[in-house]
Amino acid sequence: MPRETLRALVEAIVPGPPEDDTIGAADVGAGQFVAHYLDFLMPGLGEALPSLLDAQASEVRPGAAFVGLDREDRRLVLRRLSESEVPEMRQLGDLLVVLTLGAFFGEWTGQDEAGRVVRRPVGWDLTGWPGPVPGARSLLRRR
Amino acid sequence: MPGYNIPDVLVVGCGGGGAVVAKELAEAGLGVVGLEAGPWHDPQRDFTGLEWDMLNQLDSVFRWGPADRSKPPWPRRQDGIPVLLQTAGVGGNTLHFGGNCPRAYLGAIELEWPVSYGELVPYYEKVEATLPVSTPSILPGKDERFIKGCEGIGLEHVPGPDVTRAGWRIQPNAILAVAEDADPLRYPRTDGCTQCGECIVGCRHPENAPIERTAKRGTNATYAPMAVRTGNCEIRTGCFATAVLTEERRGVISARGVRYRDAGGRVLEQDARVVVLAGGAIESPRLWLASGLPATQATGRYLTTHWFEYVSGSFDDEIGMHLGQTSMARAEFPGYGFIESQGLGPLNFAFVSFLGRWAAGPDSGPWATRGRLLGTALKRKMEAYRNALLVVCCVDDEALPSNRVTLAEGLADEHNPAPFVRYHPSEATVARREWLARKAAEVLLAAGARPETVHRADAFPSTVHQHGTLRMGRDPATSVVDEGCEAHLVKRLFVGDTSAFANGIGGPNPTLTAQALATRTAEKIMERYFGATRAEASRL
Repeated sequence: MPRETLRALVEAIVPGPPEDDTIGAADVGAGQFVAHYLDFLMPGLGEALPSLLDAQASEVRPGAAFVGLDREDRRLVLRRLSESEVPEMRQLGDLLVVLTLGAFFGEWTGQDEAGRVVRRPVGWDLTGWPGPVPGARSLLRRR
Repeated sequence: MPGYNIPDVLVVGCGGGGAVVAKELAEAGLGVVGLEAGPWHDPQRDFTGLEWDMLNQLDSVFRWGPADRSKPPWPRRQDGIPVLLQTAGVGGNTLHFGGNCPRAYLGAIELEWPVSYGELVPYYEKVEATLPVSTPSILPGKDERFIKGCEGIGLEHVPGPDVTRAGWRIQPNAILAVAEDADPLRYPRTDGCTQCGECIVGCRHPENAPIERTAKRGTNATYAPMAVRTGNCEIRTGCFATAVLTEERRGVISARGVRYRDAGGRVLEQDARVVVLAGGAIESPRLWLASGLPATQATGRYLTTHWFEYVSGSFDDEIGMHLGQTSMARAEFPGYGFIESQGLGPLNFAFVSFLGRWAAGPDSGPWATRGRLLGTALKRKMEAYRNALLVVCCVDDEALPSNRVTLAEGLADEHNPAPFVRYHPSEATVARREWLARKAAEVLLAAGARPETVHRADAFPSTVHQHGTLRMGRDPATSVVDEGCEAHLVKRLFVGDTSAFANGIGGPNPTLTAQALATRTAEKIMERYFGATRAEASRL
């Protein structure tokens, strides 16, 4: 269940099929990246996240778990977190989005265990960014 | 060489300002020790050009945290200002700035600085010659398109360097001249900027260049190595200042040194004749307060940030924002602030453009959408990345005493209580920013952006720029340091960073002004404590 909750979270931020034709954050396992960094900041936070999201889900639709919400309502949960009166909830709401985008549009999906970029990251392909280059030769002085 | 006797000057923080003070004094023959919380990176070895790896707030190379990236970052508490971009490392925020080096707006200095603009000019000239600062000769598509938009709304080309009226111009950048084409692009054959677009994730080009020939002129590549080369300056990395030490004689409190933790966690004390605070506008007041130094009602207050806004739009043709220096064109609007074209990698583009406030509802602005975008709306925007142009707005935000740095209760790192940063903009600031955001949208539309793609981020306040928290002034009741940047209430204690700014300088990028002021402050230190006459000090 916790893994499904993380999938449901990242899917709501960067959707893939069937909501959207092109690959999304759940397809690349972005939930793992999110949980890793939450635990890095505060040990146990990654594990606690699914229950926290379920509690928030009940506020949007009584009795519903987070995975039971449609994607609009899951984004509403994120909005409610980011607009909470409680500073730590606001920070968490923003952090969940930052981490999901970091996983999807950064270099993570192209890296091996040692951090080397060994294949084209998914987000670079989606956006058409070539990645780091030594320079732009067309913008240099002619010889 | 410092270490045998007590050093003449101890500089806390070797970033954009501290390294300048260190170099100027070391060149003058003084013995200088610089303490820097972070490491001194080797761009060739340590910089990867990867967006998350270099710039994330949690475990990146440029984060605010220990050099050991397996340890969590140093905590801060915030109210109203969710992101604080602070960086540990020689170079400080110049490690990831875009190199933009405009001067302050003349009117903002004349309004409330205790120093006239004319007095700053020779120091501007010295810094511009040292870095050096120049206008790039070849513009990529994003900046040419931005200029087309500026001309399209009737803005004149006003070349600068002094800003007194509205106009567009090519950026004065602290970046080496554009290099000659070659294959491969490798030093020494390639010397200068290769237009790779990585300025804000750390310049490491041309490949194989020694640090002093790094194209972007952060102080890690300029003032810091220059300081060390004099033979009179030692930079101690991994050293975090925890208290300014003082002594009192006949009722006068003077700085006498600094207590700090070194990389191994040992607590050490370093005496010096003069101490300069240059950890940035969050850390310098934090250290002041944690040290229990006498405070005025201005201590830690009057924080300005330029409250960045981001307006973007897509074009029918490819813009290719990832090519070229991060920003090569700007438009000034004294009284409001400025706007500039910017190129970012896709992750940073997403962060700044689409993570603002959740939308409040429709409004009457010249943008089609505004606020946070997630889901399919975000994906469509990101798929248009190659056709997108980003315009960044920096507002001349009002300096309010309620925007301030204090010490957090119940939150600390291994050094001191964490800083607590509060920032809420005034109505006047909000109005000026609205005006700038509209101008940015109008520029995009005049440049040919498709109207249905123009998007305003509604960004939260952040520190990328940070100033004013130990401000200069003649009146000790409303300032912290005097017109020489020496503390009113603590002799031999100077401020060498943007904390000393009396206001947000009208909105433009603060680095050049911080460095000009630091150059002048070094002279004041020489005059006041090391027997140099004004003429002698200025010849150095």
